[in-house]
Amino acid sequence: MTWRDAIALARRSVGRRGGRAALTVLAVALGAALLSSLLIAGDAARQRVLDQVSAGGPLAGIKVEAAAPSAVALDSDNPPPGPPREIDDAALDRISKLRDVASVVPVLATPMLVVPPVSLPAAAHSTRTDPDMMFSSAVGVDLARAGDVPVSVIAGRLPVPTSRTEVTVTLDYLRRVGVSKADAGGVVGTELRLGAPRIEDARVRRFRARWSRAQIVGVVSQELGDGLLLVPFETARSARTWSLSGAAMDSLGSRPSQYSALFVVARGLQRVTDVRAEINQVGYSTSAPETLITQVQRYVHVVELVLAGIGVIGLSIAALGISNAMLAAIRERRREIGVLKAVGAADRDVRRVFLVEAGTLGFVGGLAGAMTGLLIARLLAGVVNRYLTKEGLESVHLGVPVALLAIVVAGATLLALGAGTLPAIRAARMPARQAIGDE
Amino acid sequence: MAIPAHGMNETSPTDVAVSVRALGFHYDTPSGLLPVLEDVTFEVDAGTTVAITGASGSGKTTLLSVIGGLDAPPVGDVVVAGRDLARLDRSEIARYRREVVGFVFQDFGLLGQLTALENVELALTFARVPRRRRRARARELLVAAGLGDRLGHRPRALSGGEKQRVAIARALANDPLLVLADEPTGNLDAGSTAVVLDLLMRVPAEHGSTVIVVTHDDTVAGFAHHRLHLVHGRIEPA
Repeated sequence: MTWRDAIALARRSVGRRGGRAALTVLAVALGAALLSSLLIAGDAARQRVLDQVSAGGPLAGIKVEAAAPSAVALDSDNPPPGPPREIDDAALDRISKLRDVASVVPVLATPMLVVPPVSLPAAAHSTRTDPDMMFSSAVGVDLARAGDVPVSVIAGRLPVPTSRTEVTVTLDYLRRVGVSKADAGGVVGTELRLGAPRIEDARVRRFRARWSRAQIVGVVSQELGDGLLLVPFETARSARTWSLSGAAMDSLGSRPSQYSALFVVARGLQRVTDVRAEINQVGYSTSAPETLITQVQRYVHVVELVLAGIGVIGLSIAALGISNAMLAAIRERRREIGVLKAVGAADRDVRRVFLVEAGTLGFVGGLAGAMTGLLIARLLAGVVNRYLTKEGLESVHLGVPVALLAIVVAGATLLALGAGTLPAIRAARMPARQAIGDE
Repeated sequence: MAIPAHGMNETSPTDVAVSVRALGFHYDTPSGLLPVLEDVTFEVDAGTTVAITGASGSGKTTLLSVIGGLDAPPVGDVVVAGRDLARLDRSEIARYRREVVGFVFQDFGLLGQLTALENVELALTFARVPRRRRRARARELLVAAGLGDRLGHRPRALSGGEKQRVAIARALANDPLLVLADEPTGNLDAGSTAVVLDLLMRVPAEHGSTVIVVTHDDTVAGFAHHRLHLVHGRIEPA
């Protein structure tokens, strides 16, 4: 019997027992749907969270201070910095070329006078107690590379990287103007007056400020440096250049380093310790949440184990369903098997027919399950995205993972073939006389 | 109705088609061995019809199964067309059933998911006969059996007599040396019985095959050239 004939016969047999075939396909589809939805959701979670953590996202980041490493507590997550040391382009270049460094983002903090609006919108529910003008810092970073730095948008959005009139404020700003995190959206759209200070006469501490207006386009949580504002890098550089053009800026807390810090992302959590040591050897103080990273690694491993476990359970259920359905089919069709043998079917012919049937059920079930799984994953993503949007976080994007779906369909087919092998062998080995005589 | 020969098994009418010597057969049961056939010995000439008769439980169907290769003979020799069935392995016995034997069952043994044409083709499918040839052969046999207008019908749309004629056509598809029919008219009314018997008994003359029919019906047995009567697993004079 050729494969083509076996396929034709199996197709007829599956078609004749539509109810049983549908139940078997349903069992496979459920398993495949569970597996594919887990894989799709897991893949999205991995891209969104786990990969950022384990493959070089901000959590695998190291903050490099404009200071020499401290002689003590080098192994600490946040060691006290040593004496000031300038970070210039040469240092930036040298650190960028270190092995296992995925990216380096320069950070520039500059002193800034911030004048909030006289009255905040009612939506902000402000309980302001601080004075109108606040002296703090603006942290500048290349916002085109925001994905490489520990910045989370809580409300609104990040400024356009080239904008000179858009800024985001930090949680510290909200606290200073008496707005809770839950009402963060209330400050978005309001206007600030920003003053870059410059010392005119150090002896009498007289300074003047270069004033500009900026619109708050978002509220962020960030770990790049202390300050009320997160601004585009060029905004910070322009203000800093103005401030440094005066006298004795050190008295205002700003050191004349080309960059105030660097944010270095290692190629994976495992590399963080080594990269920190290398940067220390270059001559800079570093800090990184290595304790947190270790804990995250454990949790990541647990999540992976749980996902794998659920997937295995789904697969097992599907395999049992197929195997049970095929064994039931054999019990039902003993007479048919006997007739096939009586008219000349060899063991391999019977085996082939049953394997093709199992494979067909697995393929159809796998296809239906993969599509259902994609639908389930999209529904889940919708729920998750509503939460993420509410929290001001970037939403999860689910594409159509063709390769993954193909793997699920192929896996379900192979699984069905595997689960159908024992029943097929049993059918093939069934003595002809026993098969015919059992009905 | 003339059943056309296919030419795969050619025998002379004077050949011995089936030789059974000292055949014994028993079933293992929880209470011990249950003898079914004891010291059965006979020969069947090629191109003849033989009726095996006997009461229920006399071993008729078991004897037919052993001759047809559905059961292995545990004691004694069964030689069909020069093949000693006890010496054939599983693949050889499948080939034997495919090339030498054609079965006709009391309950027809047709596959419900296939049409009449496809049921007849099935025997040729396992012999790997090309699709076009086997379809032509199946059509030829069914037309000869008077079922030219039933080719595309499934078994459930056929009468009992028509189903049995399809089964006979399928049994002849591979041009077998030996046609084994187990109570072929057991489920048929008188009209259908006559048609099926006529078809079956003309097979040796028109096709050259040897026909062995198991029946408990003396009328059916009366159409055969020879008759073997089984009593408690032993051949006795009819």
